[in-house]
Amino acid sequence: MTTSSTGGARRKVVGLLTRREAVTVLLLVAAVLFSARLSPHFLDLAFLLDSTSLYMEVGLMALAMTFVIISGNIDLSVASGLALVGVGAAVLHSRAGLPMGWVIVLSLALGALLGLFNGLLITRMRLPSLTVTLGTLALYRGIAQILLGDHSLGKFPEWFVGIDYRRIGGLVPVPLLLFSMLAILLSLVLHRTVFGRWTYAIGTNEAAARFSGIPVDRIKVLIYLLSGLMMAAGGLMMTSRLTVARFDMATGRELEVITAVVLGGTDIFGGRGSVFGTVAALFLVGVLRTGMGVANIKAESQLAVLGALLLISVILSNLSGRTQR
Amino acid sequence: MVEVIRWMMISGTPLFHLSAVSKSFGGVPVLNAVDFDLFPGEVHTLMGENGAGKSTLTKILGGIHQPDSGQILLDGKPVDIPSPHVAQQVGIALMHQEPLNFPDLDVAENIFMGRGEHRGPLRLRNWTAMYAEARELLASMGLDLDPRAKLRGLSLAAQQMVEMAGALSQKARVLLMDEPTAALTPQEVRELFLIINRLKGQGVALVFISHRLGEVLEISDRITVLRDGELVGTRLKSETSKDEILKMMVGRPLSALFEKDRTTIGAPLLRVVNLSRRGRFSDISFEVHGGEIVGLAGLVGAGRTEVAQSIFGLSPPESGAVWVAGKEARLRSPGQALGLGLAYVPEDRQQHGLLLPFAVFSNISLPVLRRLSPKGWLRPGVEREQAEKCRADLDIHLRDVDQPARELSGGNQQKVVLSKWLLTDPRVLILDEPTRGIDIGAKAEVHRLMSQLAQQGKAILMISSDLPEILAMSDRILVMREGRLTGEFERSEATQERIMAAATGQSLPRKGMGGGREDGPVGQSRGPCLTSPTLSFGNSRWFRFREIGIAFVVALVVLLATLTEPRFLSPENIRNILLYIPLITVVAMAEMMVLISRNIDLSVGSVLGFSAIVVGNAFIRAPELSLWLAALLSVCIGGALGAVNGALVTWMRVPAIIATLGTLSAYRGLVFIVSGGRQVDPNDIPPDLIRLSQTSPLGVPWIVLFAAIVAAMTFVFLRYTPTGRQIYAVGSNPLAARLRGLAVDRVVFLVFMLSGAAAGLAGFMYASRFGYVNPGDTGVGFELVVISAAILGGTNVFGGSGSVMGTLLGGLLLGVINVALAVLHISAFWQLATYGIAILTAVTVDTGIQRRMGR
Repeated sequence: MTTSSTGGARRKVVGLLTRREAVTVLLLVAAVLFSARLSPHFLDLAFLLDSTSLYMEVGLMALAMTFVIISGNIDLSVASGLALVGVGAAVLHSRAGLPMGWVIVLSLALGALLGLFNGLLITRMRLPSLTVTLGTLALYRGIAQILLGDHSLGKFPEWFVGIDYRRIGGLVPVPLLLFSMLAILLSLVLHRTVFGRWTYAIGTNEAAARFSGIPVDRIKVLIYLLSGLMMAAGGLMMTSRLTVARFDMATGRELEVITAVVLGGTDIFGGRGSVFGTVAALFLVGVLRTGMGVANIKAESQLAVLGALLLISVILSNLSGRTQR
Repeated sequence: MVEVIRWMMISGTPLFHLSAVSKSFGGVPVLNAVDFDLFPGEVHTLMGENGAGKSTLTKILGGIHQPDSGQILLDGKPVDIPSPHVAQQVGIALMHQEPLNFPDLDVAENIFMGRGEHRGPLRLRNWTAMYAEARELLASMGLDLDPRAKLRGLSLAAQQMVEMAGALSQKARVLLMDEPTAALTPQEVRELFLIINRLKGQGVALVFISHRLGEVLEISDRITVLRDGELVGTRLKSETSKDEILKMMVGRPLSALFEKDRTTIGAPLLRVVNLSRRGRFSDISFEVHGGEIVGLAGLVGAGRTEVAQSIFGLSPPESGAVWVAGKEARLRSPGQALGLGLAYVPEDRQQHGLLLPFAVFSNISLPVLRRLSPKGWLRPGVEREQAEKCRADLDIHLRDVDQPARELSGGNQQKVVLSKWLLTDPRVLILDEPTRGIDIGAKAEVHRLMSQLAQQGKAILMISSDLPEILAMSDRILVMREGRLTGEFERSEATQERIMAAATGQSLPRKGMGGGREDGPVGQSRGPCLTSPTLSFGNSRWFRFREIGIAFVVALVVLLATLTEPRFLSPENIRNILLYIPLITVVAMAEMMVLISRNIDLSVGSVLGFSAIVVGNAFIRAPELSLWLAALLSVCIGGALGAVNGALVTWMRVPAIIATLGTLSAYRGLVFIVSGGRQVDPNDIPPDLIRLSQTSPLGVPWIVLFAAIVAAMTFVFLRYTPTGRQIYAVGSNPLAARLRGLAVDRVVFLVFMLSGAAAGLAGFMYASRFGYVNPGDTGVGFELVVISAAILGGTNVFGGSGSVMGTLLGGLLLGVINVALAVLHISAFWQLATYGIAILTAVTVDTGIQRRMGR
């Protein structure tokens, strides 16, 4: 009994090390060390925590994107949806004069609606998610542009703006806190609930999932609904941080979201992945960017490093463990 | 014939001789020291139960598998057949169980792809010659098949004929046919046999696999029987009998098959009344009682699986009713069926029965997961417990229940599937080919289990193509043919002959209840013309139809804009439209090729930006640089970046969407590193370059001419060169392309390189068109615009189809919309939303029409 349980334990340890997430975590550690060497300021805890606020919107959307990709789909419309929700909130508050409490509720509802629209088109019309969300990528940002043109709109109440300057215990910024709570919650949902198991099942083999009595279409719609809610949360968060909304907020960020998820070990073809991996990858990208920023490497030049990072991590995992497939 | 073969066997060398060939997969022996030989002009049939090793033997001959030991002699000399391509070169053609072909290509190309080029002047494809040869070839086989028909619209039989025609086109000396008759109607089998006899006459050696003894005795010259990977023996047809072959296959007299125990038959638990689904089955009525096993026999394709899946809620019937345990069930989903006590064990274990990478325990718990998980929280402990119980009950052999289902043998996998459904405690169990592909021991266990379940009072409907199994296990036997019930027999009155008669329609002995009406087949019996007219319309003209559709939309937009604002068609606006399109066109052409090959290139915008910035900086350093040299430079730079993408996708096996997502960032970063973030200003750019966007000898700007030339070249490349055609083949069916010996990786690599080169050229054109290059916005988001143009033009995002004309029109539509918005004084802010709506409408209409046409 003892021998078999230690055998099991050893298998678990080996299994843990060969998992795709392990590569990400190692890279994260390396990135922290590397950044610390670039500049001593980097290891200032308050600075480190504050810097996270810059990528928590991407993080929120990446949490939902983890579900989307594990279920074998993709959502290219997230950043556009974020902009539309942000613009929608600004219009509702500054033009329609609704109280901010209502605006927040309505914004979340709008996000849910955008996700629902994606989900229903994909399941009811049996369209590929890549095409549908490419279409809504243009559509959602387009509507935001129609609403607001080239203007910025704001005039939000004091309590709403500057979410990144509010800290719990004088240290932890609110965006980071919100993100952490949602990450834990969604991690539980993905790994500990029937919904999560079904998500993996659909991404592994949709036909077999259907044959097993899983309500495939309903689950997919719910996943897109989740993605919509995260767009809304991200949209509100970014609007609060920037104090105004513009139609071109977060342009191109969908690619960063997908990068975080894939870098975190989620299989782009579905069926495998974890929330933990996504979180680790998100901080990896964030730390690298902050580190390079501290070292005065321009934001745009950092892109080259990030792109290379994504490719290297996928190639590494290809070399180590693609034999399974 | 027999005499000839006997004479050859004594005197001559066989065409092929396999001696002591062995093969095992993952330690499990599939073939053990098997001898096999083949003479020209004979039909040599391989028989044996599922798993006996027949398919493996043919795949070794066809170069798909390599033997672990043993020797293959061709014309008396030892040969190696390391790949299907080599097999093809030495004159061996393999027809797979499932036809491996290119559904998006037409009949003639399916015949000749990778096998023969019809070159005309300039070494371009001569379509006329190819169609002529295809027509001739088909006619020589006695087939009336349009060489221009898309394969997707053809019946399975016609697809097989096309595959045979392909084999013949390469003058194959050996034709290997793995169960070619399994899905054919008797009429189609007759046609196949005619062709086989004709080939025999031409001296082709044929290896034939079939489970239908009658058929085998009719067509074969010799019969070799395999059992569990061992050679049992080879017999001349004239010197053997049905009984002997059966005995050789089973290894014991037939009566030793497990038989269902007697049970008390209870109330009807499943009642199906007049169930119909258009084109699949009609008017199906029957009952299954508690304690009863009802066998559903028929040929493959008779509609049995479709009926079962309809009952289970997977594809709801159009009319008729299903009653479960006395209550009418309106089934819309498998989940609902499950709740009512129905269970369905599907025919395709690997694709529909199991999640192969999942642990055994989570496979078993899947249908009952909600019940095992209070409030939706998983309890893996309970799941494992249940799985352990099933493992003990059904004697499933595995290391532990955490093992992935993929690692189990066929028989054990089937037991896992059965466990999964037994846990739902069903009242009615539908088993679709429950013992296909599992070994004899496991088969007997499954049969014993079925008998036990019947004794517990469950109602069992068993679909099986295995007649001895049907006869041994069923209390009552239903027979389907071409979508209708054509026979019903009590256990006592059923014989193999009577069932086959009902299944093939040779005569219709039947008994009263539950049947329906007396009539002929659902579809008209298919004559020699194997093309179904409606489908061939839908597919062969589809793209032309698609292009007309989008041209119509373009015209509509132009008309509306002109009606509202007559100046819309002024030369100035036409010029604006024309100037909008060239960049999109050049890159969209290449992106379309990438999409056709079943890939995607997201990096084109960054490549465009990189090339533009390099060209701009080149002019800063060397203002005297020749324009043509600069253009060449941009194409080379783009091509190099594209080659990196191609290398990542082919050699590094990075999925295209990830590879190009990575390079999208990486190349954009390079733009900044190279430029140092500095914009290339208008006064850095030579006036000659800017003039390319303004004038030309023909009155249209040069860059428009560039785009037109690129489009024309793409058209010629895709339509008239072997490589261009291979792009379609690779995207339509990558596996088939590989087996045909196409250099799939080379094609994919080339496509990415071309995509890069086109984006590079577009960078040069960008500098000309806009007169400045900003590292921050040049080409940003351009990938979405060109993908939109391709999709609007009808390119399939899943590969295999797309046309230059369609993509051109797609780009034109984007341009027209853009200018129309400006002219109509609608804010430019509407542009993006309009694009979004255009894409969504295009794909929705597309799929809607395709579905209506029954694809």
